[in-house]
Amino acid sequence: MSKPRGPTKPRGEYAELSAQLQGLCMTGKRSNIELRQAKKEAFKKVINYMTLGMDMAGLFPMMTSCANLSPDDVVLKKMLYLYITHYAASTPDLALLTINQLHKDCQDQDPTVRGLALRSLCSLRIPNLLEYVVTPVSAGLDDRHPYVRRTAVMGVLKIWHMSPDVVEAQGLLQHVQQLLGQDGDPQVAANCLTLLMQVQGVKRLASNKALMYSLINRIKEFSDWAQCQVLELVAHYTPGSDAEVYDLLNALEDRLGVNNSAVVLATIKVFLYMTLSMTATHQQVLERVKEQLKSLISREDPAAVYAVLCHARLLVARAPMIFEGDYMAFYCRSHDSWYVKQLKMEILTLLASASNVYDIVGELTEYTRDISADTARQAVKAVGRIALSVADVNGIVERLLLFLESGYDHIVAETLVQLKDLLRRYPDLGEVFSMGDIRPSGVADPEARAALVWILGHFGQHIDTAPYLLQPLVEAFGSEPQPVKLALLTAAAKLFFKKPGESRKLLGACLAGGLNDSDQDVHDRALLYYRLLKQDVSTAQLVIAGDPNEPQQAMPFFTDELPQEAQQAIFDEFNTLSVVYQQPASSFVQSAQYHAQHADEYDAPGGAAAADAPGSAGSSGAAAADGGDALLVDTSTNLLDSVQQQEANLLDLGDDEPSSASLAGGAAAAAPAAAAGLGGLLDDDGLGGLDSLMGGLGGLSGGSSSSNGPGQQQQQQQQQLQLSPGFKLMPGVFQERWRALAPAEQYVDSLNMATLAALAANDHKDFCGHVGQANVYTMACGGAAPMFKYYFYAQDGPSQCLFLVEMVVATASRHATVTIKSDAPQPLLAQFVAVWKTVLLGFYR
Amino acid sequence: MISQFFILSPRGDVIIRRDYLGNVPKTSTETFFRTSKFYKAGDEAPPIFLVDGVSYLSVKDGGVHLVATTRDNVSPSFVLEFLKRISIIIKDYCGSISEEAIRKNFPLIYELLDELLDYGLPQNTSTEALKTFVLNEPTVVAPPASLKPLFGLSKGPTGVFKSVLDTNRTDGKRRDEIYVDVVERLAVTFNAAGHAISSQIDGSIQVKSYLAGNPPLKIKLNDDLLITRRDGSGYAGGGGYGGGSGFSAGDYAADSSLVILDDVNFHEVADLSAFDTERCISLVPPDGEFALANYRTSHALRLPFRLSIATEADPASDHKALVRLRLWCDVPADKAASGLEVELPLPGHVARVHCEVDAPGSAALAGWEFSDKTHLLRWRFKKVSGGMDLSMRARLTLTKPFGASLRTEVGPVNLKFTIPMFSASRISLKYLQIMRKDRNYNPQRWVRYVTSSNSYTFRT
Repeated sequence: MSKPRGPTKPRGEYAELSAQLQGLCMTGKRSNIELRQAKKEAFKKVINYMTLGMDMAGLFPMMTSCANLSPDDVVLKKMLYLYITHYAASTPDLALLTINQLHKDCQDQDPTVRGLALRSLCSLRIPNLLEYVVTPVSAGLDDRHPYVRRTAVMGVLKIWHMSPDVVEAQGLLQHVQQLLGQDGDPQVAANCLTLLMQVQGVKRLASNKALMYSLINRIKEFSDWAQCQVLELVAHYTPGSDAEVYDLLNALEDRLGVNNSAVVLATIKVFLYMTLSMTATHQQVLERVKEQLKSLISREDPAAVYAVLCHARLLVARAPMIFEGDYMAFYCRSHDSWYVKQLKMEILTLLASASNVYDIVGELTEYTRDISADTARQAVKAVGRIALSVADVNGIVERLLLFLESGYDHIVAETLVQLKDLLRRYPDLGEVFSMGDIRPSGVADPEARAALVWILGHFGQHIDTAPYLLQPLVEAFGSEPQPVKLALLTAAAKLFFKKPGESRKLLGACLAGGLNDSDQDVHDRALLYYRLLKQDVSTAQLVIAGDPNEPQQAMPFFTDELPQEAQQAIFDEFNTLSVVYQQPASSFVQSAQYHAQHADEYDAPGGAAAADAPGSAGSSGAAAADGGDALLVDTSTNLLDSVQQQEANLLDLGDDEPSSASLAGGAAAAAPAAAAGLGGLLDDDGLGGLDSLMGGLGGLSGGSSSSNGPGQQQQQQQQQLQLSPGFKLMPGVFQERWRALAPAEQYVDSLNMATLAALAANDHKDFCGHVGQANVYTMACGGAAPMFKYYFYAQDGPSQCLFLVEMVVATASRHATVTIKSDAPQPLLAQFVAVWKTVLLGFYR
Repeated sequence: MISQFFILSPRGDVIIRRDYLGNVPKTSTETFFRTSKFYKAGDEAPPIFLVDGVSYLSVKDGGVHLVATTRDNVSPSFVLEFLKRISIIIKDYCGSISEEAIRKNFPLIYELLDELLDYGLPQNTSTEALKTFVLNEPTVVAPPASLKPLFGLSKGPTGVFKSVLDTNRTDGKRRDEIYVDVVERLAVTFNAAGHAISSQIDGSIQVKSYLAGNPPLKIKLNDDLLITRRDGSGYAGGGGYGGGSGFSAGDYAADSSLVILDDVNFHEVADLSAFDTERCISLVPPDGEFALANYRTSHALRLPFRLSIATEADPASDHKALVRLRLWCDVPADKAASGLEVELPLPGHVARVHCEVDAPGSAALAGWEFSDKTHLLRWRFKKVSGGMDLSMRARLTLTKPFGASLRTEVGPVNLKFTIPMFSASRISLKYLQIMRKDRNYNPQRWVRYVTSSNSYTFRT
């Protein structure tokens, strides 16, 4: 395709193609061969534009008749079927026209044509046409050619995803189960296995011992991919005795030696899971597997190496002792990609122990000279982490201190960050080390500057010049980034307790800067310190810098290390993406319904759930995979809403009152946020009783008897209507009430672009959070352009009346259609409508 | 399973697109390209990443991205190996993989994909079996000069860029041939004293068969080959788990006449019944390219290069310094390294560099360059024959006076090279027999060796 491409061309090309295809429907003067060639060329063009994402659906009739006029040309047929399956879902009526041809082809002489037709027929994805699909699939399962049989098995799976009932009613599953036991063709058996694993669940299938053994016995017949399926099945099997475990291991031993890393990892999973209760054998397996991992990670293909290294990281974290002696295998190669280097350094960090730490740190030191600043920083970080975890810390700390003299900004910066953590772990070090001539004003990286500021504050008693080093930063307080500002406040306060004379001015300047700062956290911390100090200096010292009479407490561990339970959860999902992301599947897998474009066909509330499945993945976390009309609601979303609501309140106040005159008013509301900000500080110092302190502060400065959020104030204005805070409605009830009630109020709003963007921002959560402030809660929300849909509900406390709101936003016309349904009497309803409109007005931009 | 599969050009154009499950938005192609392009300040994205609940798994080959998207918690190795497999199949059928090859053959590739994947699940992926289902004629495309797969070796007498479908031809243009390539990648690190502190070869015996009718083959390797894991441990017997740990390679290391491999994996087709006694592998090669064996060793390597480096002050000016490098090429005189690159990172306070090279005539220096941004000094040579001795001098102009610390700040030196017809492990094919009893049948047999640098570092 040498013609110019691009989105600007389609109109002309489309018309041209349309005419061309129309011409090709007639034989004209051309010979048969010429005609076919011309057709092929035209079809190629159509497929090409289709690939580019242009809409070619309009050519449907021409394409079909063109191909039907040369029924024996399989190449044309293949292209036609590719085209049909691509557009069938969007033009189901036209797809119906092709069913006849497909049916005919399903009975063709040639098995490849039969298979092709059957595959295309099952890929049409139109639920209404299922009745036409079932018969050929059922016949295909008994076809004499394995190609057709395996296609038919996949057909059953496709039908099952559209309608499990049909599969059930037709007895297709039993049929497939039979095939799995009997069929001689490995790919047919493999497809049967895949299908049953999806439909019946792996666990249940794995309990069928006879089946599993028969699969293991013929495992070598299978393709690599099918072997992986069999091994996955075996991994879920629970052997009866230790002897059986040994039998299985020996039977599968040679799978560890194959070239395909997918098969090797699947085998490793079996081996590890089988021997979990047999400690000695488990160790032996790890030893055995280790060699295989080492071979796999020295492969040329960086992608496969990456996946294997992620698994190596998990195994090393579980059993560092086993890998201790093999640290050289994880040394970086100069041509490794950065992501491979990063993983290798993480692994080196994990397996460092007293016996190999010297070599590893020496090697990592070499990596700090890497040309990529990121990789070099990573190496420094690895050295810092090793210093934290390995007891013999002195030699390593010296290495770290040497990095400070390297003269490279990125290395110095990372070293400072690491040093900060190290000093928290080993406070005694603070007395012995010297910072050299590094000045915070010369450190460009904000994180590193914040770390240095923290060090200067925390160990101010050993560093004579500390207040003077901080002076230039405080003078430019306003222009510093937020983490540095926070660190400055704390450091100035700590220095003040240690060297009151020299640091008084510094602290004053810091607090003044902080109180006038527009950043909420900075403002709150400054305010907190200010009030603490005003109240009682010694208590303030206790809170901010800890008890001066007690030795400094060491941090026993840091939270960025993966905790045991999390690691175990990931190990339970060995050989999956969980290992790569280092998160259990539940935290990142967001199922979405297959072929979700049919969402509009469902009823209104259910439709919302389905409609937002493709677009707003975030909010569809709870959506069931195949429950077409399951409303996506879980309690955590509501919880989230209420939290967001609270935050939103606080931020509003903060923004309104930047001047220090109204500080007192803001303080009450700001207090919880300051506490949150301090949460970060808490690990610096062991301080208790903060909560009670905060309580006192709130009472002291708030001035009013109760802490009023804006939501409640709104309610007080509405004398009769009192929306219950924290009210929850079950999705089923919502659906039922929605159907039962007639619309009580309906109107259309026009939105501007900014509002539209704000609605969709943050997965619609911002908007839902905003509405939540008025105690109107979200049942479902989401969707992508061209349609957003929201469902809200609220309850009037005294009368227990329900209000249900549907809001449909068409992004193209920028109209929001709001429908409110309620069983409340007219006056209450009117008030609710007023509240609702106020809420919306508050959000419109 | 796999929701979508697509192939993107280096500029992000969609060349091939198939949607299997319909649960990932159509915009995923743009999401992938945007994310991978702006992943981390210019660095390429890792092969697996997650955006909005969709996992993107990708393999890059011949300049194009092969991408699979999914919402399931799949096995990452499974998907990545499968993508790799697709790229090999494209190579087998189109001669090479590149944007041009795919654009010219896209109906063929759709046809292949139809058979490879159904409903997001891998089906038939053997090059051999796929032939039955493929009807489109391939347009064979040789890869652009910048993407030579075998490090320039491919310029050989025939060029190996042909489609497996050519073996079906009956028009007399068919040429039966078989390629066996022993490809070794070297990872060696020398310490400041010039001793190799770690060295490893990752090798692979690659077979590319274009033999009609797939006759059986017999390949014999060195007699003095020893595989520690295979020959050492007692797994082969029925004793099974709990057996002895076998002997270690150390026992043999002293005897340098042996070729010792730490670990070898063979392809499924390899019949190893005569391997333990005669080092013979029998196989019926499937069509297309595959790795007959992958091996790894850290024993008795022939290291092709040695280097010494010295940094001295310039007596004339304290803002100048001189770095001397001397490089010996230790391969036999009839072999030569091509595309040698010597990389020397310099500290930040080096402002300017001027270089001189002493080398015998044939080792034509292709040039040297110094990048102000990365502070990397690089010499490039066209061809360096065995036994050559190269001297390089770099005069550095410094922004601050010379200090002793400069000595440790210069380096480490990195070498990149390719040496055709040389195997660092000394593994070799004693013979390659095609077992067909036909006097007139004498297909071309190409046995080639190549050693390239994976990581060849001299620390300072």
